[in-house]
Amino acid sequence: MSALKKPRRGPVSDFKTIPTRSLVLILLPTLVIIAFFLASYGSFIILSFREMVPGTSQVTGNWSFGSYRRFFRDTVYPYFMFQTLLRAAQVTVIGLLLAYPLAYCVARTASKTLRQLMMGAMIIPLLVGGITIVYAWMVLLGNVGLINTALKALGIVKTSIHFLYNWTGVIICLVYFVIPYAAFSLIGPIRNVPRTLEEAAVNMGASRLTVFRRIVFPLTLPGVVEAASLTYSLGLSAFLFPMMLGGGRVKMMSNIIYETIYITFDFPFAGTLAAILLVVSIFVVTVMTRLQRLARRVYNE
Amino acid sequence: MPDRGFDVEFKCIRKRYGSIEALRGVSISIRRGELLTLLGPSGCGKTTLLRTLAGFVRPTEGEVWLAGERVDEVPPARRNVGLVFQNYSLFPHMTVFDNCAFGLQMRHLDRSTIQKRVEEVLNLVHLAEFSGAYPSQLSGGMQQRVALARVIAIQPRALLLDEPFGAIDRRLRDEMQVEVRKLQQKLGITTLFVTHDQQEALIMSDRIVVMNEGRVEQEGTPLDIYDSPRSRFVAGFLGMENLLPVTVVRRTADQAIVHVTEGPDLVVPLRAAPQGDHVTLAFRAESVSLVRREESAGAEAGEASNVLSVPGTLEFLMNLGARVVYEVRLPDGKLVRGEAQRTDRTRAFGVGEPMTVTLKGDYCVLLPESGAGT
Repeated sequence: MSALKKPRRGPVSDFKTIPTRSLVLILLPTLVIIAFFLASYGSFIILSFREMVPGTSQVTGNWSFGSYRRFFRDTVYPYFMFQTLLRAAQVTVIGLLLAYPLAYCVARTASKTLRQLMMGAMIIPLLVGGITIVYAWMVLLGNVGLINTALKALGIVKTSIHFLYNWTGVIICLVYFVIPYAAFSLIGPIRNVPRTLEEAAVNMGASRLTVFRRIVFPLTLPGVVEAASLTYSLGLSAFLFPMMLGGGRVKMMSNIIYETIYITFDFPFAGTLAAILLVVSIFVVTVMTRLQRLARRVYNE
Repeated sequence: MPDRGFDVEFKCIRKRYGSIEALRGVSISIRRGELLTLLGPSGCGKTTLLRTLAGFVRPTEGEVWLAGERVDEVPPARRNVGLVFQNYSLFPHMTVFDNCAFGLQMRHLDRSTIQKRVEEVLNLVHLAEFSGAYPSQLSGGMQQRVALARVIAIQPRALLLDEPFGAIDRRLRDEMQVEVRKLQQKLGITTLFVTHDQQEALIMSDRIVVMNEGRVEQEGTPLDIYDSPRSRFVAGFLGMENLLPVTVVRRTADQAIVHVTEGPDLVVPLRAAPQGDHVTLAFRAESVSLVRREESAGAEAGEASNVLSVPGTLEFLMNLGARVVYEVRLPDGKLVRGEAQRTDRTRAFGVGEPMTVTLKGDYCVLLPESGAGT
């Protein structure tokens, strides 16, 4: 017995509580980052309540609601806001419709190797960056691009379909961009639905469609709402794709903000646009989170 | 196909997964209203066979017949068999009522019929007052009863139970086994039951099919299987711990005299005894009895009889509360495992002591020398 040593006393973690010292070490950098974020948000929100000195690019020190009045007086800005909300919604719906079967396919692949291979392939668009995606789609969608050439060769169309420099191209590209995000956030919830639930439903006479409608979809609904809020946020903040593929004809809020800063140099108004977009985004995310909670409660999880 | 009173027939079923053969030509028939158990270790193919009947596994070769209809091409949704899973697989987002109504809704029955039928089956499993509860609000045993009610509601042509008690704790399991068996008999529903638990198989079954490595090892009534295993595998799987190599000295019409170890020979009744002189003597630990050498009457040499008493050394002793388990080494090196009630007598046993082991031939079975498995 004497050969046995008592366990050495020291800082012992029971894996339930994080020691205060570690907590401080973790929180400190987080707080610094959050502080910088809030400071930048704060500065453009403050800026949105300022005025330009007429005829210059100087900002006065006076408080003013002028920029906000202008936003709502000038119908073109609410129109762009509406366009942004609408297009983000379209991207979300199309993106989810495409991402769900993809996620289901990955989630239900039995072979781990194959599943990881598929997930790896899904990550590629995230790795190559937006510009690469844009140019790839330009090659595909252009008037003499791959798709139009193929359609003409097959005799389906006589003249090229104009995919680029309109909403079609922008939405195709945005959908392509959001699919991995949506699919990745759906794989987990789908995998959490036991296969035997589907088998049980089939065993009792359900068709594949019914199994999806009555079992798989309801049980993954919280995940769907989560994927939707992620996709919608990505859609609302889209900047690069409308800029590159919109050809100046179609614009979303981020593009308007960009132009206001770099073309008209109206910083207070840019701040206003950004603040309104931020409020709308927060509102949407809040609604989605509520929906998600509701979905969980309804399905008694 | 002529109907010979069989509700379910598996004809020479083979199933290959790449180079692995999960089922190697299995033929089994289940009579109407019978509960047939597939008993075997994990990986023996019992669940695969059950799933060929449910339609989730397509046999590579062979035919599956259900109520006089060949079903191996029928999609699983149209087979009308009720499958109960080990993990219950209740729909967590539906109430007990909706779970039970699901299969009926798939059959497009009208609302009042569904209402009536669900109430009936919930009464059968004594869960009528829980029809509005969600599965997560019920205990494991209750969930299993809902799973049962859910498939009974569709009035299936056969009931398939895939290790249904695996996730329930011991005490409740005993209750559920009896309850399910009673229900099955009351409804007279043809049932295929899959388990790896020999006790469960003995309690539940009209007939047991012992499976091993994708083949049928033995088929018979529970007592048949228990008393007269025909291979070392079945004997071992049904708890005959002792499998000793012995030599047949002489055979008569209904008994064999075997040489077990040094000393007199043992007379063993012949059931389905194997050919050849070198065979395996199988017996349960409970049928061995043990006394200390000094207490035994020393009738060691003598005629062959149906009781064998031989000397041995106690090598291992373990107390299990009400019972003791021990191992005794015979003079020729063979090890015999025994089990007895713990009494004052067994309390005096000490490891290393000389003992006398007694075996009754009537409790022994002769098996082929070596077979599949142990």
